[in-house]
Amino acid sequence: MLQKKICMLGSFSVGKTSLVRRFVESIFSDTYLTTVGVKIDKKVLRVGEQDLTLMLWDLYGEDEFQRLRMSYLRGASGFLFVADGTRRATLDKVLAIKEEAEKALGPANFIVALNKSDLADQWEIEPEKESGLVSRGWSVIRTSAKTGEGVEFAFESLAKAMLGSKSPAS
Amino acid sequence: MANHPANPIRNSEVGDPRADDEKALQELRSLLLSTEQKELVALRQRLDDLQVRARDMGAAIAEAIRLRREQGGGPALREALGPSVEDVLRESVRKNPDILASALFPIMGPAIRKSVFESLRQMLESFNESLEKSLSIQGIKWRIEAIRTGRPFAEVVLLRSLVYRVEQVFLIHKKASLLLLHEVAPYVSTQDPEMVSGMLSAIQDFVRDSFNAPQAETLDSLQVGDLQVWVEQGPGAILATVIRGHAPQELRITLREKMEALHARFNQESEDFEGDAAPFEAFRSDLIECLAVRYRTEKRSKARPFTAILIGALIVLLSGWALFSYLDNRKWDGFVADLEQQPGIVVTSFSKEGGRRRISGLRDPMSAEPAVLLAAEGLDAGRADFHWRAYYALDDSLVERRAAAILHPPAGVTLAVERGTLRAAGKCSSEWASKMRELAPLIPGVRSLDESRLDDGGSLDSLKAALESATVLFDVGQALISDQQRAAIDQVRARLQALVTKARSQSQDLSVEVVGHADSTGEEDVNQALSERRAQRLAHELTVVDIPAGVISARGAGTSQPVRSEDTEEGRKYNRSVTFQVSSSRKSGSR
Repeated sequence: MLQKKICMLGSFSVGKTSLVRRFVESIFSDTYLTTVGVKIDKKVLRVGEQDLTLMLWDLYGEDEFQRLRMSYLRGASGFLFVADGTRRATLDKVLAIKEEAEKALGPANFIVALNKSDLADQWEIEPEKESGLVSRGWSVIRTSAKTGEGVEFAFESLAKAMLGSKSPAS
Repeated sequence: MANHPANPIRNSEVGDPRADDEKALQELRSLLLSTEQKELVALRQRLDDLQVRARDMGAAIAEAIRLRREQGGGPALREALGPSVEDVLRESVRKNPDILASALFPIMGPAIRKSVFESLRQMLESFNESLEKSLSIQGIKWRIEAIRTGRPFAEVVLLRSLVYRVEQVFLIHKKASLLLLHEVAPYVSTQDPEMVSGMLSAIQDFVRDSFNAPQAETLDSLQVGDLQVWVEQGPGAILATVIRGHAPQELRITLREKMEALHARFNQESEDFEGDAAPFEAFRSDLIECLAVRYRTEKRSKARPFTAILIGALIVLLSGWALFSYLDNRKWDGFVADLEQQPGIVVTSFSKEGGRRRISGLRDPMSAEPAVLLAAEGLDAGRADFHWRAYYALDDSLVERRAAAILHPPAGVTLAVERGTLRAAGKCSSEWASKMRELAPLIPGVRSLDESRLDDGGSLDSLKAALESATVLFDVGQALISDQQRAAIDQVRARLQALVTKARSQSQDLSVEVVGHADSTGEEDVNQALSERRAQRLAHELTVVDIPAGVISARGAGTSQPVRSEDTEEGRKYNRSVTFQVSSSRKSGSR
């Protein structure tokens, strides 16, 4: 059984925690997020022939009261960046966080989840912006915490990316 | 090559010069390279022929694998061979599970035995511990605690007698914060160890960040109640132990040594870690060794037997007392029940006061003596308080006793009472008989006297006189027997009986005339009829007794034979009556 640490990052209230709630095993309460600044969940999935345990570090969304604790990012094999599709600024924040994280840890596998896809009428992110990211080779996945759309797919995409990039044994 | 014949040239035909060149080249080639050519053909054959190639590779494959592993290609080999080996195993099990089962049997048997033995041993140990604890004062305290907290008793014993126990050990990869190994002591409930490991790492970072501790400083221990988490830091991994109770500092040293050993053995694996914990499995046995436990042992061996003996003796005493008390109560209950069965004794209340018994009721002085009954039951008369009120019981046996006490029958006379009738039998003096006749009706419970079996030696005449002196009175105008007359009739019957007995003993024929009377008031013929009915009624009453037929006859005298003068009302009363006239004569044919 292979284990990987994944950090889930994004602004406050983009729906990170509710996005994964139905899809992961959990023993800690949400109050850990606001107190310790992180809550750890577990997601077991199978990619091809490989069983994989994702240890999901749900980090407290950065806001004016609290800075992102960079030490929590240590040892992560992948990032799940979450933005709120109905608030353009949250995507900009994701880009800033990504840059910061890569500065600290070097490049890592990641996907970008554009959450709240069920609120199509309030969607703020321009299609050009989205396709611009995709054209840079990024995995951009629309998700919905409400309907569950895209969540499993997001996990699988990230898992595949991490397994694919594994350096071949010499 | 040098001695090769030049025949091809000789045999060639002259024609196309290009063909000639080719031929010549061929010839030259065969001259120069014939040996190599043969070898080439042979080599091609070896390559093309699968069987030959398989034979060649068979010789090399084992050596090749060995070399590959020596060159550090272990993981690649594992990856290459793993799936095939797994498939082969799966297929083998599918086809015939017996083959693998037999192959594994020598390993699995001892492993299973060891595991079963270990579980049994732990169970027995905890059972013994519980047994020992349950007989001490502390044990009772713990039992109360178990009831109060709703935990199993065994768990309370375990926790309370524990000095310390390492309940869980986590080996966590330091950089990735991922769990490498986890071990748990028996009967300890745990949360998902992978998530716990993550959070444990996060909290270390949190503490360091929050208090601006230097990077080298680490969180070495956490404490919650009697639970501690000790964290041993190594360069590549951390060892977190969850300890209940107070572990000694030596344990720290042991844990540190484990960490050093780990890093010496697994330094490379730790650096190369990509999320696969399998290489660290080899360290699992070391981790299990960390699950140390120590129980309290102080002076239990001395205190225990004493407490046990004391409690044992107490139990014996208590149960002895309970048994004695139960048997004693039963004896007393039995005694009171017996008492109630006694004629002449009525128990109205029975109670226990302190160690004594209080018994109250009614008692005929002629009844059995309660103190004697008490002694017969084996009870201590000193422990009983009797409160009796005297009364006359009408039970025949008591009336009989009372009659005997009052009449003092002489030797040869027996007294018996049956439904209120006192029967005297035997020989006695006429004085005693007459005294008895006088006293008997006064004895409480004696309603009539039967002296038909009594021989008082009196003459037939005196008996005749006795009967003839009897008078049975009737109410005005009445010929029916009323209840008030019963006593008088019984007396007459007894005298008649005595007379009949006497006459029989003297072989006399007896004739008793029952004479009815009426007072002079009213019509004569009515009075006559009334007197006849009175005589017949009484004669009828008397013939019920065992008297030969023909002895009794009835006759109405009307007012012709007044018993007394009717000058007074008293005298008139005596004329509403029945009297008796007796005559006797020697039996004809006797003597």
